[in-house]
Amino acid sequence: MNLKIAHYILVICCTLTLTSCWDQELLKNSKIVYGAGFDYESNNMIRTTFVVRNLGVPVSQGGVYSNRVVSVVGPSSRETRLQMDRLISKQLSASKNQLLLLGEEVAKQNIDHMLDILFRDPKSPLDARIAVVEGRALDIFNLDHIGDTLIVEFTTDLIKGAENKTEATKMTVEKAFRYSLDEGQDYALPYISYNEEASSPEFNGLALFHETTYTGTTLPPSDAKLLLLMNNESSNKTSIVEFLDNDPNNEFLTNTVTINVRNDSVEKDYSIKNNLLEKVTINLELRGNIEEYPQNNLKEKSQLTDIADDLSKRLTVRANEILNKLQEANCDFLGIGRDLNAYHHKAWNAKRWEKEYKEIKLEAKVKVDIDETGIIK
Amino acid sequence: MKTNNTIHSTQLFFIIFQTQVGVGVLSLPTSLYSGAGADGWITLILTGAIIQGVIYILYLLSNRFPSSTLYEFAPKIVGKYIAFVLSLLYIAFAISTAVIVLELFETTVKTWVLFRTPMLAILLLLTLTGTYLAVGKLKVMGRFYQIVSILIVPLVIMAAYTLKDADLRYILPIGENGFGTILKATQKGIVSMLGFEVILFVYPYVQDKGKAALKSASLANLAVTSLYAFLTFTTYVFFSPKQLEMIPEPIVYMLKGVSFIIVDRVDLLFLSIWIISVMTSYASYLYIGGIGIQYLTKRKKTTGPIIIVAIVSLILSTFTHDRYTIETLSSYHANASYFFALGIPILLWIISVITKKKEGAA
Repeated sequence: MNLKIAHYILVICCTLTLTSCWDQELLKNSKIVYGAGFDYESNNMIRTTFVVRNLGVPVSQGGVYSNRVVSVVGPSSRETRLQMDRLISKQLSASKNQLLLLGEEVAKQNIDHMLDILFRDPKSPLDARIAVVEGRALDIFNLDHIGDTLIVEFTTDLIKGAENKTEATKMTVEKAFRYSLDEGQDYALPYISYNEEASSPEFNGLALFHETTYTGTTLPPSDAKLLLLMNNESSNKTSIVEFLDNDPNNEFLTNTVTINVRNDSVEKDYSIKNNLLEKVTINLELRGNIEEYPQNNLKEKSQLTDIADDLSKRLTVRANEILNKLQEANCDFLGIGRDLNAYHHKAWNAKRWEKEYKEIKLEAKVKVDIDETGIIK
Repeated sequence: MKTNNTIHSTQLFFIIFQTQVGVGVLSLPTSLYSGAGADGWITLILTGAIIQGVIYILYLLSNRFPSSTLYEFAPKIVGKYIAFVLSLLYIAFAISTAVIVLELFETTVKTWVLFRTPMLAILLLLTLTGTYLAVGKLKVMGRFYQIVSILIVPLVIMAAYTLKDADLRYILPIGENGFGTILKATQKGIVSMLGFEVILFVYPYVQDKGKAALKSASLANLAVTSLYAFLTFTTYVFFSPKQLEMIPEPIVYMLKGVSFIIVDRVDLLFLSIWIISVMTSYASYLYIGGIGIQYLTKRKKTTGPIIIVAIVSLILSTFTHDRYTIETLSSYHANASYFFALGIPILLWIISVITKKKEGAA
């Protein structure tokens, strides 16, 4: 009998300690941050912008979702965060944040300083998308909504769309943390700018980073696509549009051909002499289908080969231009340093690499094969 | 056979396995990285091989005295007085291990999950459940360990899922730092693999002694080694080198970025499973300490001694709680554990072989 009572007491004690009364965070008591942005103000001050969702009347009862954009200036991200708490009723919770925008100026500083708050806090959202904005992040968030869509969802979907079309790599806060500390590999974040004509934000290519800072160089979406193909990332929604070497007076409206990439393979050849890297050749092979070719009908196989050869030449030129741009920006996007460390370890020197990368010869060779022509010839 | 409280050799496997898998697994990749760089996972495999040798010696020692625990056969080997001191030391070692487990558990839970929960509540969580389990005799422990071991499967799946973002180049070239460094770092690996010494205390209760028991122990070691090597490997191909230097618990950190459709924080799931593994190794050490006190005080039941051990370790663990102090404490503890898990048993075995002391022959 006594044993039974003892058991009951034990069970009650256990349940008392097992319910975590101290650490509950109720949704009704918190304001959820959907998007965050950082901008550089003068004198080492940064501006933090939060987009907070108002959850008033539920949508099922005829309510509408709306945003509140709050922006404050302070010396560090955590400090602005604390200021933010004074401006917002209820507990502020950033753990569900899905989008982080960095203003152009702030990205040129060490971004790790701003992101430290995210790396350190166990509740921070490491899977939030991160992107660079032309101008200020605040201005994008101040748009509030585009059509029916709220600005954060709109911008996040822009980025996700670009990822699907191989125009941007999936860059989350976690990935930025990984690559910003990696001496043998750099990265690029999606670049968002404001399109006056459409009065909406627009995905405008990639912002090239070196270690923790934005280099100031961007690649337009079409170049970004080719760069990502060279980095062996592809999806079957990748389309390449390229001018063809046609007679300019042939009275065609369009002088381009569009191919959809089905398959791509990349091989990097390293030529090393005396434990020094001299030249890297990137052989990119694309296999695709014709998506648009209004100039002529493709009755003969030889026509396809001609187009493919022409494309190969033109894409090779463009690929080499992109590589030059990368080297000028000192952005080792293709992870050549990492490759060197892994496969040609004797030629690798982390300290030397910082300067070495700009001086090595990078050459791209693109070869295009065309299989299909759509449902007409 | 002293009691009918016996365990099957399968349960021996799970007891050793769950005692070995514990609090150390979270910090293991970082501590191996600081020793052997990106070759840390090779170190781990090497550590497993070394421990296999030790397990064989522990088995030989236990098999000379198949019906007594270390507390009982030590007097037969080294005499009453030295054995008394040894037993005291082993009890102290078990208590200090329990304390370290409690402290590491508390800090980890506090930094990752329960930020505002009072320290005592977190410590009680482990102490109450662990004591309850340890009091329930070896057979219950064995069965419980067997049931909860199924939870290792989701743990492995979670870690394997992150391999989709892996970059193999982070661990290449293999053997970059040379064999010497890899070998030297094994000492960091051994610490988190501790727990195999439990064989010295549970061997008399195993039904099928001899080869079957050795097989169980070896398989347990193999399972722990491969689990640890796999987990370490996944973090090494996930994080870039400099990150590994600054993230103390890489496995949890790695899973923090993963989110499935419904589950947003996979790291919390991982930690919930990890807590069970911590509890089982904690309970094992309570048991080791408990039966020591029971033997020295010549009591009949282990319940009282185990509760005493639990209370003492609970009190001791409330003292310090900052990350750096605990790191220093656990490095002292790690050094001590070489003696208790490797040194003393091997010495006892050598003496017993030289003096030809054996059960029944003495």
